[in-house]
Amino acid sequence: MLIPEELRVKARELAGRIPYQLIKDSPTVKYYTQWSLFDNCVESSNGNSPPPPIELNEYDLVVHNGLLVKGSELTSNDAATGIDPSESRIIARHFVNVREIQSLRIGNSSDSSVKVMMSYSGESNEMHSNHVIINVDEGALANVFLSIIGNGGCGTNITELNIGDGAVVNLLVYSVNVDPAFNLIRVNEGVKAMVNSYSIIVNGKMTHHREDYVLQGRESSVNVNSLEVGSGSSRLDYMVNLMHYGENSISNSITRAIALDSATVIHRGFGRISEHGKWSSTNIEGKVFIGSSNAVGMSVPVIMVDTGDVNGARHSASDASLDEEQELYLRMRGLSREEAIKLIVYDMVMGFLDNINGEFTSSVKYIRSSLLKLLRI
Amino acid sequence: MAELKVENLTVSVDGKIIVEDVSFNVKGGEVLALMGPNGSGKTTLFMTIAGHPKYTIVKGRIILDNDDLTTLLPEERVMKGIMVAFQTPIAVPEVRLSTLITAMVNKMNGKKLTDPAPPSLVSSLVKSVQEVGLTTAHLSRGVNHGFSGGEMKRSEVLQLLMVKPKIALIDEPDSGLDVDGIFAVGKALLNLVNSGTGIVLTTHSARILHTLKPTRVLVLSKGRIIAEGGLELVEEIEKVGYENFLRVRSK
Amino acid sequence: MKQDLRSLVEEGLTPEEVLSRDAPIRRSIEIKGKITSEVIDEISRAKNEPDWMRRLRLRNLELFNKLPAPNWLPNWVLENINLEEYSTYAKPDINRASSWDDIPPEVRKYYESLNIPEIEARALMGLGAQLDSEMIYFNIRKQLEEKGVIVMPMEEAVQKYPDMVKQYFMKIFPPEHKFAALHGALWSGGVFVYVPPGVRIEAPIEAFFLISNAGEGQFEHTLLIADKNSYIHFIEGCSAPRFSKYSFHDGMVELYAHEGARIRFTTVQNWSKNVINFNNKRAIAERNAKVEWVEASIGSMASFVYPSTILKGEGAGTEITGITVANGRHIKENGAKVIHDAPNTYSKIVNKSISANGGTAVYKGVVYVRKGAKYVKSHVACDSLILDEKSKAYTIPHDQVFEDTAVVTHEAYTGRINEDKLFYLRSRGLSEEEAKSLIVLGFISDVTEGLPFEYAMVLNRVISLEFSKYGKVA
Repeated sequence: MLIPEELRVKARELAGRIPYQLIKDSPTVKYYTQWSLFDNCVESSNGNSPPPPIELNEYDLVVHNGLLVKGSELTSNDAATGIDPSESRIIARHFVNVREIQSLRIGNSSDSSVKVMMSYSGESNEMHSNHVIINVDEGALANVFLSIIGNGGCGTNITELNIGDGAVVNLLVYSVNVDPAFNLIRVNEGVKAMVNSYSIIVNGKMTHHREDYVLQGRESSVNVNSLEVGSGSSRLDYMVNLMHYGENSISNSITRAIALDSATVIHRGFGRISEHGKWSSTNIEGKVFIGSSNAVGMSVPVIMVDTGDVNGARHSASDASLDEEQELYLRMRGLSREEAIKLIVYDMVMGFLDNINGEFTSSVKYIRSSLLKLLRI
Repeated sequence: MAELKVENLTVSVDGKIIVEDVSFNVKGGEVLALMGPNGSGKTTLFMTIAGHPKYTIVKGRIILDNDDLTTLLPEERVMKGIMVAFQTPIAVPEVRLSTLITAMVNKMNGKKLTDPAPPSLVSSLVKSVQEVGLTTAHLSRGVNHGFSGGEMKRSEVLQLLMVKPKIALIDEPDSGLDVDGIFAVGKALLNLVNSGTGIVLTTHSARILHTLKPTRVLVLSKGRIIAEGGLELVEEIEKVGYENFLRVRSK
Repeated sequence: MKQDLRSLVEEGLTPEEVLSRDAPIRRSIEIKGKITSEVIDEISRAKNEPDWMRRLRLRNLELFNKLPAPNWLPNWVLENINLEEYSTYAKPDINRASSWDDIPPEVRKYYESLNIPEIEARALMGLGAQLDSEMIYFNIRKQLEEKGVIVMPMEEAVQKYPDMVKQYFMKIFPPEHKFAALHGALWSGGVFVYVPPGVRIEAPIEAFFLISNAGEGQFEHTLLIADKNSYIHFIEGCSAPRFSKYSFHDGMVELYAHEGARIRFTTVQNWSKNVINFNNKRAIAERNAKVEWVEASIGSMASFVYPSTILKGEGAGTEITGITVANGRHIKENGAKVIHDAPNTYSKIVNKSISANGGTAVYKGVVYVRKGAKYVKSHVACDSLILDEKSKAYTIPHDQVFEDTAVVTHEAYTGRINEDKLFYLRSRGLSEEEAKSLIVLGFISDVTEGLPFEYAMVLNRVISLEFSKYGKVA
């Protein structure tokens, strides 16, 4: 589906004018995401794109460098995007650059599993954009595996997941990045919709990965379990936004992050209960494990509650390495500090994967071997 | 048979002497019971032998077979064959108990820490879990994470059973356990002793010593050994209490 | 609903902005009025200041004109600022006295219900404090003098101890943002305290009653220096509500704790509801020193105070405790900023807020651990109580850790009063209002426990009244 011309025009005008971010993040760290790195990326929606280096058979829908490579029988032309280019320069640039929007619908009766691959590759300053919209019918049950893989070159990848009333979605997201990447997953939930989400985000020179769970329908709920791993000199800015606009909605987000080598790993969790979201509750937990002396961990767990008619909002965050007592305990089990840290990283990753829903067994297998290779454990 | 020799050990913490001139031996297959009131220096002694950096050896040596452990790092001492079970174990939520135990055994056998456990190890682990009174569910939890006091003790003993060190120092394996727990842990440790490990243990109540009969008993007071003997010392302490026991001996 | 989301999104708003404000349009605000260097010269002349202070004011004025308006403040706050008004008031010779009869009767009745002496009540109502001539306070001053402690109005210190003042004045808190610069240009009043090495002052020093012009509030500057191994507990402000003519306060507090010193700085702020209160507070702690900030923010229409501590020396520590009450359509921002600049430093931040009747309580904090600051421990706990469906609470903390040996943790909870608890108290004969007050007092008890008895008592009474019928008057 092509981008409407007026949207393109609007985006182009905004891309030259609006900032990436209007207000600084904090007095000490001005910008968690180094937007300046995206200024080095040049839109390249034209030209040939080399075939993606992945197993096409593994996926139902494959989009590479903005073009549909597989799955045309699944897509339709009737979806409209709910994302506004005026949100940020990066989104405006996305709408300038993206060639088409792929949309697919998961109905009540259709096959409930879909595996989507959004990939991009090119020279390090080439920017490619992918955009997928998935509409889940009311009452449907869907298992969605979303893989966002960058093999060099900048990327903007936007996924919109619109979940109808009473639908249940199990979502598994696996994203590996190299050059600057802006990944946005926006999930809109209808009345009594349920989302169970697992996200694994790995590496990247500057990865801004944001998941918005908009609980619009009353009694909707979301449970997000995330694993964020940064090695080498990666910088990851992972944001989970839980926004309650429906009454009696429930959200829960647990993030485990690992910062290795000289990586900077940031976890931001926003729980917001608006006046419309009466009697809702939100819980955000984030733990950043700092695995080496040059690694950096940052946590920003925010709660914003706009009404006293709530069932509670909580958050907790911690940034730490192995503390002295733990280190000593493990040394008295025969492990040196380095071995202890390696073991912790290993078990944080394996433990996370072991806890993922049975629906995703084959995808988890692939993720497991990919991760072990990437992290060299 | 392995032998641990502690010779004239004097230990200070923050400049204060806690343990003074302590000497004892223990061989593989033996059980040495270390008694003494709270604050007598038992934990300090154990932590020192394990290599805790907070404790300074002012004088004396620790020898395991032919190795002088006195200057070795804690993890090096474990590799030499000596392991300590803590009085207050520490929680490490990020690592599952099964992963830690597998890593420890792998390391002892010169394998990569994260190598999968061979079937023999797995069956041995399942058996030992039952022996100490835990369940396999505990194996998938973070080490000591959310464990009750008693469960932590059982988990410490489980680790010893799987690693089978030459010498094991166990600080109050019975605290937090009920009668059945003490019996189960006592039996598990007895099996460990029978398979060749030498044990030094401190105990809160002497009940465990009914199952795990000590070869010798030492009594520590204010950092010094003030009595050495057999089970009769334990019986005397049980009967008259530490205060009277010590008063008689300090004359 | 999708429409709502879209309408929330304006040009370039960050997610935080989108998530926090339903009022869509964000335009840049011009601050009204202008302050000329002539006004500054006049102020400085009238105070008889040495040249270096005049030049400091002018430098700050220059910076003020250059720096952009802080865009993290709500628009309506910026719109309420009128610089012309402030330059006028900052000039000397303006008659500040007013009469007891001008005070509305409900307000007088309110003070009566607080059971405080009339003379204090008069002072609190801004009728010009004559308290420094009262005997009891005179004796306290004498005792301090004997120990070598210097406590005097800031202007006096500029004259009498220029070298010491020069060393620290706005060096602890340089004009990093527009309002700090405004303060530097227009500052007036406030207290200077110096505690010599080894001197421990056990009884808290209550500035309000000791220094005559420590009560005006508008551009007060307090500078407190605790030399090696000294101890001082300084209390600023008053639990009881204070009437202020000025609608914009931009004060500054600078604390310096030398090696081994301990400073406890308590502020109980209860300004009348016409005030926008802005305060720049910063402390520097040297080796093994400890700084404790206690900030109770009850009054004012809007308040923005973020006490900060820079832990400069090894082993230094800080505790920042805050109570924020937003009762009525007010926005109260209270926070904490800790920079761990040295190894083995520790910080503990406790923030409790209560919002009711449409109030918004906000916590904004930063814990920054620099690389090389080994073995840092930091813990932040924020709890917010929202009493009704119209009120709000936001918690916005940042933990930025550049050192792997640090342990930095944070936890927060926001909720309403437990219905069961309320019912239980009512079943013991208390009215709903009384039950609510009791629960609120319990909620903040671990903070009020640290205050001197009279303060805690008045504070408790004030808070109880806040949530009862008198609350609307204060």
